[in-house]
Amino acid sequence: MTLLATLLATPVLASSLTSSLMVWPPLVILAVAALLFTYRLLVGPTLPDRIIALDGLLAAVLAGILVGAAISESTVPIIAVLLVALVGFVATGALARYVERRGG
Amino acid sequence: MMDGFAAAFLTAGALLTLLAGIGVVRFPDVTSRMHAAAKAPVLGIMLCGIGVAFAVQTVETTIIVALVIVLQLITSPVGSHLLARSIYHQLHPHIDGVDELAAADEDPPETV
Repeated sequence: MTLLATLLATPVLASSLTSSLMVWPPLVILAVAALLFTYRLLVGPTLPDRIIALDGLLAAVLAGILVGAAISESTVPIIAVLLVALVGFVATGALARYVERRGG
Repeated sequence: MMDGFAAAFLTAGALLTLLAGIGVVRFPDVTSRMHAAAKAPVLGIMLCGIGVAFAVQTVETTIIVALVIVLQLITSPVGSHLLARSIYHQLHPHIDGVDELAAADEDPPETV
């Protein structure tokens, strides 16, 4: 607590250090979520299960890029998130067409 | 103060993505897994984007985050709908014994 107080007293260090401490929980949670999606991707009994897991893995990666943008406080990664959000559903649609033609 | 808001929104978004992961792993059925994976990550990305808008605090970041949210809300149901349609037509889960697309099947989808 006294360490936090001294850190908050120095204005330049305060914002970066506190933010870098506070962004660890979302990163760890997103890593666990990505592990769960990867489990379903590897295990999933049917092909749509794996497509669902890939979709969720993409969402976890997008959220991770957003957390990284919040850490580095830059706009550039958010443009990547915008582009992936723009074209991400095309992969799901193409795989769905593949499932529809080929069968589970 | 704004860093606290940003960290809270980022953690909430990450928790929603984790919720989707737990649902995808633990739900017993393809369609229920898709139900878990179709809705929660969209809200997770929305909350993470709001957290980034709190952390960066520039005008263009806020505009791009708004665009990301709108695009997620538009494109995610499209992909999930296509996937659900293909699951229905190929796997025929028939969870509750009701064939809800029977009328649509009289006019079968064109297979390219």
